[in-house]
Amino acid sequence: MKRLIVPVIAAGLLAVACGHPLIPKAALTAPPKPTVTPTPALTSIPLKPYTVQKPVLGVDLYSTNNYSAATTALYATRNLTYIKTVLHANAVGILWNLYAPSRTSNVVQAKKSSLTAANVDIVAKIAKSMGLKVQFRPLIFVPSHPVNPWEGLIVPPDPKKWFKNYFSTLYPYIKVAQKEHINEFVTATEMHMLNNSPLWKPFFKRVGKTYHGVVSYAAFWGDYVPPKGHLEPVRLFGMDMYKALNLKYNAPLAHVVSVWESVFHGVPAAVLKRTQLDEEGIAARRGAYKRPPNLGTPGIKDEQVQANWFTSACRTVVKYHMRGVYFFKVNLADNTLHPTDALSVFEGRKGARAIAACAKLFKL
Amino acid sequence: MSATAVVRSDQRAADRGGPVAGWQRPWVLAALFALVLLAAAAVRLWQLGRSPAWQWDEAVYWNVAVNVQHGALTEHPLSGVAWQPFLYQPPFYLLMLAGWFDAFGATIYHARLMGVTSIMLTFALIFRLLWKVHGPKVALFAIIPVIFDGWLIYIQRVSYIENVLLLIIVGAFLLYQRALEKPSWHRFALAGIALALAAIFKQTGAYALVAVLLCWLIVRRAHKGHLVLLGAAFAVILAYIVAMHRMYDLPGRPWFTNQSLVQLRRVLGLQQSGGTLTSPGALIHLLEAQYRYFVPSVLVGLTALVVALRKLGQCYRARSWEPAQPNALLFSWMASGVVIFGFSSLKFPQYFALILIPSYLFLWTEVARADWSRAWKTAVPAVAVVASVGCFALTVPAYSYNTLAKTAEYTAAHIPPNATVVTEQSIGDLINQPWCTVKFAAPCLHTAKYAITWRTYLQSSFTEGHASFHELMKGAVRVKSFSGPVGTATVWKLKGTSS
Repeated sequence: MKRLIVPVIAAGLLAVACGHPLIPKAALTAPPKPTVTPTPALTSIPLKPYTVQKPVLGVDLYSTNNYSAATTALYATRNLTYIKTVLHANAVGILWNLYAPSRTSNVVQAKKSSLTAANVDIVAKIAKSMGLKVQFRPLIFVPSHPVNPWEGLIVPPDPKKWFKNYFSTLYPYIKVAQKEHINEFVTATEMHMLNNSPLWKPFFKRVGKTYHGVVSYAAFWGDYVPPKGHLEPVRLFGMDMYKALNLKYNAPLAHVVSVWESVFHGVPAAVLKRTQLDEEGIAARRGAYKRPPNLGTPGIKDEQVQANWFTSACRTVVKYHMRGVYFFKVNLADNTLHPTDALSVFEGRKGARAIAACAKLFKL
Repeated sequence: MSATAVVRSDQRAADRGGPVAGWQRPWVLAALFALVLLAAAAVRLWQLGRSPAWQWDEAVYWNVAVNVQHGALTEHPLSGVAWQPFLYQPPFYLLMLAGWFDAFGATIYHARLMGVTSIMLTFALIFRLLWKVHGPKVALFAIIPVIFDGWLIYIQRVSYIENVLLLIIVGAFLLYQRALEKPSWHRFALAGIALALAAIFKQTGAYALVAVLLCWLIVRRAHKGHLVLLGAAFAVILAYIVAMHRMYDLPGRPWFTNQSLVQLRRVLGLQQSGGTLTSPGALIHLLEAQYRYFVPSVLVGLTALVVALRKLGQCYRARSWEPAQPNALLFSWMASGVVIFGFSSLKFPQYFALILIPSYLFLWTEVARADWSRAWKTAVPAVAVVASVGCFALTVPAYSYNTLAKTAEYTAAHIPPNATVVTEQSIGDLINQPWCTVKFAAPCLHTAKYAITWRTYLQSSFTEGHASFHELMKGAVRVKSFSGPVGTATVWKLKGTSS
């Protein structure tokens, strides 16, 4: 026995004691200097106390255009009624577009088609009068890239200037948020390329000086989940779950739910309970699980895909005691009694019934 | 009755069949095997520098081994991200390859020579193992169709780690068989150490340990010996992990732990990996599209599976492992390969060698022991060998277009040496320009001038690329494309920095 054990132990000890072979000295002594900030931990800021509450069931009311005050009020009343009475939601996210001239511009601006702060105010007032919780969430579009106008690819050459401009553009809406005492202002969505910027902290602080409600940020899913996730320094988190899932269109609901839940494995419970799914959308289309963000892609209609996705979102919220979910979307100008045939729409489909069923799941 | 006793009595019964013919004498059979081995080496060395074209992993291992020669265990470092060593695989193969390069030359061709040498040694050990278990006649009968299997010839001409891993695994099984025949704790301990060496040489080598556990279940004896084996294996693996942790996990930079976990997550399917099969349908499509020459190998492999399942059925009906006992080790080896690699989320072509070798050995030893006429016993493996070698011969010209080499040559000749290139891992390792990976091109967003994309049946830069890569590719102009059986590489000139 000794003849064998001694050499094995000796070899082990030798290996243990021989330093760091084949590692250049510079790599041992110099601290790592990545040009991109590494984000090994989801967040480095201490989390403030938070008590789990009944989850929010929200629907995004999205305005791609601006309208007169009267029309805005008409549309808002019609669709908020649908959201409250048919979908049984208890919250609405008011969404409108802001624009960047290019991905490498320092400018973010409201255009003629952006819903004005005054109109946002009108929608918020009506929602509050119906007893709905209200969230504001502006989106930024880059129309010079019509194929992919996603804000996540914006890389301003002068980030300081960009944040300053963005705050100026947002300021009228922030004032409305404070005036109406809305529940939450999601100040930006999926700013993937800017996700690690240190300028978010002063930006949130600046917003918080005017608006005293919940200031948050909706992260791109890849910037939220480990190992690459990096959360912004806010008290309560948000994320948009558009991760491609390797599921067949006819996968049973239980399978979809389990894959959905697995996306959040590795996210600390303390983070999960402070997290809201700020945007959940998917087309009622076969194959949509594999490309959930592609809402406009044509294909074979399959309402069950959309319904299963929505139900999975709700069950995930319940399982992880998350803050809630907002479903994307009812357009402000939609006539929900006669919805279009577009596959991205859920009105009048199984998707809408799935949202309504979430109310029961959330015990609202 | 113990497995060894069964095997030995079986062998003796065969020997009692009458006077041994001259050609059946052990030394004659050994000499015949030596001739077969020479032929095996010749067929593996034939046109080795030309075909098959360089494979994905070869470029990576070549680059790391060359860097090891110069004192750094690393790939071609990525631009704009922190330096890290290459620890996705344990370092032993790369150290060995670097030593081989020191002695014989540092090219992918030389790496292949090491692989062929290793495989020849492996076959010699397999022959010895079969000799010990089934006698020399069966050993020679069973090993010939394995040596001349088309798929194995093809895959063993590529410098994969598995070529050396198999040598260690077979060596470990030989030690294990020796321990089974003459049980003593130190023989089992030695076998355990050898099995652990396989596991720490490449993580997938751990399947040999599972094979031994299954064999223990079948033979149901030498329990203390098996426990000693497991203890020794566990001790070596633990020593390896501790040593690697001490050497390569620096404060704030746990390279070894992180990269090992990446591999584990890939195996468990928690992290996606390019170039791996994800469904049986994909396997069939891949066979049809890229590997149609290996249909004979597939058929033999499937036959082996059927024979193994039949054996399993016999065991079930008998409510005993006795039907599997005469061929317990090969059966266990095959079963653990099929089950473990079947469930693993990583299914690279070279992994099939780890399943097919035991499957073929199991099949042909079963055929050798079957109650067939001599004509059938000769004809069936002969047909398999002729079909396999014939099909392999077709692959030599068909797989010779070297996409990766041509891409590297083009890059050296036409892309300025200081121009940043965004590309995939293997191409990045073959070029001298600073580079970023398509999976995270953000550090090169403002500096990249060229991109080289890679597309195969199983993977594409465009589906695996990071958002920053897609941003860079806007307005990119296609410059040159190289398309071969391995894949298609396309060189793109980027529109400029994204500002």
